[in-house]
Amino acid sequence: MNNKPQPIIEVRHLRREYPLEDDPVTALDDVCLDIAPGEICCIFGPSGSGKSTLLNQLAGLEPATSGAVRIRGTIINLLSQTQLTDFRRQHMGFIFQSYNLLPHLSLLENTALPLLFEGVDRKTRLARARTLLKLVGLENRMSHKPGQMSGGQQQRAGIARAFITDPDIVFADEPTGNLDSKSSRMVMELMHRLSRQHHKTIVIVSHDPEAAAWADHIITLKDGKILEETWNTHTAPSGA
Amino acid sequence: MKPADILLQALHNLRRRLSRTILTAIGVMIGCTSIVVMVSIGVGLSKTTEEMMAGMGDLTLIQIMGKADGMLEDTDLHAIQETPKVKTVIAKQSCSDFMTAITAANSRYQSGWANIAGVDRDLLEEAGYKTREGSLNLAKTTSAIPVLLGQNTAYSFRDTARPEGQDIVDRYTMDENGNFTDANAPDPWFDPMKTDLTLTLSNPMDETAAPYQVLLHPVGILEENMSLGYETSEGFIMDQKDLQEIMENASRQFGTASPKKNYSEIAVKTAVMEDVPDAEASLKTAGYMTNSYKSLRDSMDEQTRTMQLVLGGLGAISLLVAAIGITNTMIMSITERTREIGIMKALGCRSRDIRMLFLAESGLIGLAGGMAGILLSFAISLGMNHVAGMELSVIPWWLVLLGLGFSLLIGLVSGFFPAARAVKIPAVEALRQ
Repeated sequence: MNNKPQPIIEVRHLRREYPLEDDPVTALDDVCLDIAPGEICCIFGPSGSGKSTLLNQLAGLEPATSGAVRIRGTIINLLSQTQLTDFRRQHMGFIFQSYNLLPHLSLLENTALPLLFEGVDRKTRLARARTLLKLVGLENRMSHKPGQMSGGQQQRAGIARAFITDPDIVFADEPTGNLDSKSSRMVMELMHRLSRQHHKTIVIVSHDPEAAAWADHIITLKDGKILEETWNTHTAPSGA
Repeated sequence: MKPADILLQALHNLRRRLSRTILTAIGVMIGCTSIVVMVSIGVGLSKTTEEMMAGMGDLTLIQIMGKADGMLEDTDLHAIQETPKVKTVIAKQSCSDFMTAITAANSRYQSGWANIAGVDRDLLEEAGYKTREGSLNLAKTTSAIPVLLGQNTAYSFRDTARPEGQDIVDRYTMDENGNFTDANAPDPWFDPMKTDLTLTLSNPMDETAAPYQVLLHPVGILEENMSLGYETSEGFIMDQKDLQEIMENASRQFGTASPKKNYSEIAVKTAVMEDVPDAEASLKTAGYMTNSYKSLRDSMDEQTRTMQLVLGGLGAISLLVAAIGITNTMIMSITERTREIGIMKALGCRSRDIRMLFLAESGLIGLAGGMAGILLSFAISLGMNHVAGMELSVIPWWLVLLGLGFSLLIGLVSGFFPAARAVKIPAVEALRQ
């Protein structure tokens, strides 16, 4: 492809060691990769392959031992903690395996959390959260607490929360890891739809081949190294 | 985050763990209450002292009651006058060498052992003497010696025309509480302002000698003031020169040596209150026994201050205990909320906001405890004053602010370390399974 767009995420010679006593563990070893804007990318591999470490590195949640991650032209390894926090809030959304909704807040408030941290006033942020919850089909559950919802519903709220700040990239850490196959499918479908409609880059970490099947770009890791990189040409496994 | 949102979130978080919040705030409440009540007792004490002092009188006055080695004489008077910072010296001469008696209305009314003092008539006003009737003017207009009577002097006369037991006017009656009072005293046997008196001096060494008599003319009734002397209650004050003359005449008649001038008391006034300590110190060094309201007041002020410090210190210790309670609660809360904090950070919450959130929580605990403490303090203060029947405890507005401010401060300071700990929790905590 000659007219390949400028990658939104560029990783160069990334290395991450955990300095355990006597026996340092190399979780990532000289990883280089590019992720294009609007792409659904799946970092795939068994547990211990380094995929979670890679996600932490891409999101700037942990310092690298060496190498660099550049996102939208910014080398995030050079940012201070405060700059990183701001950068994350402005450009990244997060979806977690265990949803990570705060149990004492309603779905509406949970969804609006990133905007609360941004300093958006209550009326505006709740209005936006309502729009997003409608988009994920939870308009009737807005005042429910997470504990009153199924896992699939909670994860959909998690997706609404990840998209509320209109981020460029959404990171999803095993988003279907705690879900049954029907809910998993629904969640993957939803992320796929939102990515396509709003041209969002989504980076999914998963060990589930079914989830990987939804991705445009699959990076398979093994022992901290890229085993293979493949590109899907079809749109979605179901043809949705 | 907006400051209002931080406060709302903090309140929300405190409500989530209401019983723990309340228990911690109770610690602050007890601390705040003890500090406020303790200080309020100090304030009440100093107010009482203040009122007592205000009734005592002249703060520029130093009283000299005597001297380590003998009587106060003319030489002392001169020495005292020369003492630096002394402005006026008011000497009170006594009439101690003679037996005295005063009679009225041709000896019908008699008062023995009359308490007579001589004071320079030009200094009476400055010394602080006040009259209830008549004037302080002891200028001689007739051959009778002008004299001032004490407030109750007229009651010291016996009526010799009445049988023994009924010859004294009983000033005191019983009030409704069973206490004696002279508020409803009947009039004395005679009106002293309209009755000339006769002073009789006898020779204590020779009772057969003819007594020396002189006519006295009352010009005023003094207001009782014990700090000026017993004479203002039941005695007589005349010009010092008149008294001296009377005593010299009597000595001449009795053929005894002219009496030495003895002063029962010398009062010294300084120009301003600030001169009192210096002047009093010089007089003490010179061997005089002195007393002043200023020194009395200073020592009472000192006592009150010490008391306030000690009481306030006790309160401060209980607040310190409360502070440890807050820190403990906050650390517990942060440990429980490690994941929540990680999630907040991953979702883009700034470290500054997390710090502010936890400081707001601990500050609110402090403030809530402080407010409850202030209410409790008012209740305790009211109760104490009711039981004591006096203003034992006074809570002025500044003490309310102090209590609230201190409680808030304690909350913030106690939250400082836990908040710093919360800030250190990494965002990656959110991803841990």
